[in-house]
Amino acid sequence: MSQPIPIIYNAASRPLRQLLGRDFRASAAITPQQMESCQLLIEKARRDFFDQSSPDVEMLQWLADEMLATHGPDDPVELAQQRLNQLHRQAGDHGFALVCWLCKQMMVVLTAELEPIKKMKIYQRLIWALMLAYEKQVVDDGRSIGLQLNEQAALHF
Amino acid sequence: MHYHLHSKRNITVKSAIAERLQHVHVMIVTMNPQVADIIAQMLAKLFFTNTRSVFTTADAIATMRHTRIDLIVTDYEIRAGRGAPEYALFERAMPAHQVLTGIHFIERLRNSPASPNPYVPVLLLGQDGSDAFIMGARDAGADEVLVKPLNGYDFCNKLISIIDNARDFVTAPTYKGPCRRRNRRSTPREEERRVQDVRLLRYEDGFRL
Repeated sequence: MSQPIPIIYNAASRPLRQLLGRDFRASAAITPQQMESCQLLIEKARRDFFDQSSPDVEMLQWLADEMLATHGPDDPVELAQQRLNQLHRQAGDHGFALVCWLCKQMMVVLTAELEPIKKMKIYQRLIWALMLAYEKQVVDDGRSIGLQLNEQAALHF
Repeated sequence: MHYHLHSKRNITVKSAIAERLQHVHVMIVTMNPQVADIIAQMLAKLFFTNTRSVFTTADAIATMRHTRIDLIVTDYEIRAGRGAPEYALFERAMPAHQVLTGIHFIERLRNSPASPNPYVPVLLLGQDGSDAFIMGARDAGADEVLVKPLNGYDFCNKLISIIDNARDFVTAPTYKGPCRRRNRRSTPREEERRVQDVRLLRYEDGFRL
């Protein structure tokens, strides 16, 4: 018969419970109004982020051109990832916050655990959203791009 | 008058909650100041006013050495940073600009002999909701995981879960962290109990074996 595995359960190691008291219930302390305030804070932070990134419009075109010039729909995921890493570094060196953010989101898509075909499909849609936003001149404050990308990839925060 | 009394009582209850929560020292670990800012603002809305942000794991460990930290909110990516405590925790020197994962940080925090506090509850923010990531975070010893894009309601619910449903801390040869079993049902005693359950369920649903 095999030896039992020694496991120690330590109920005393609940620092927050000790600190706040046994009667404290966070579910009662945190109200729906507070939750809503938190959500509003996040939404405001996103709006501010895009507003601050507005001067990067020219860089968006550069990014879209660069990506379209180097990627076809049949390219392997690794190639897209390599190129994005390079673009991310270049944009970072120039301090282009929005471009950095876009590269990051695309990398998140490419590194997600999805089938390669699905990944490339999402990736292509991201580029398409970028181009569409640029061509329709809706990139006046960067927000429109953000809203479109939000549906496709995880956000910066 | 009734309304006045009611709101006065609410204010008293609120200040009692705020009084308790302001004693909770929260540390936010991220390499992104914007993330740190938004998390701190959300925590302040929830009366966690005692927060501090650090941008490297070296600073995180150094802070934990001289300040009591009761809760950590860590991002998925963190820079190593410079400092002796960093090397002590990770047991090998690494470049200051090296980017580590939050999972790695939690794993060392729980298991390293040099860890200032292996028991501290940790909320991990992730960018990837894949099974591999969630399981990695669970096995490293994260208390809760919140996948980005952040959502205010989810953030609050994770905090509630950490406080109200704190799990026993487990120390085993292959794992150290909050108990990974979330439901508290006892294990089946009789043999073939599950087969009996399936039979019962099918019978109740109108099926015949």
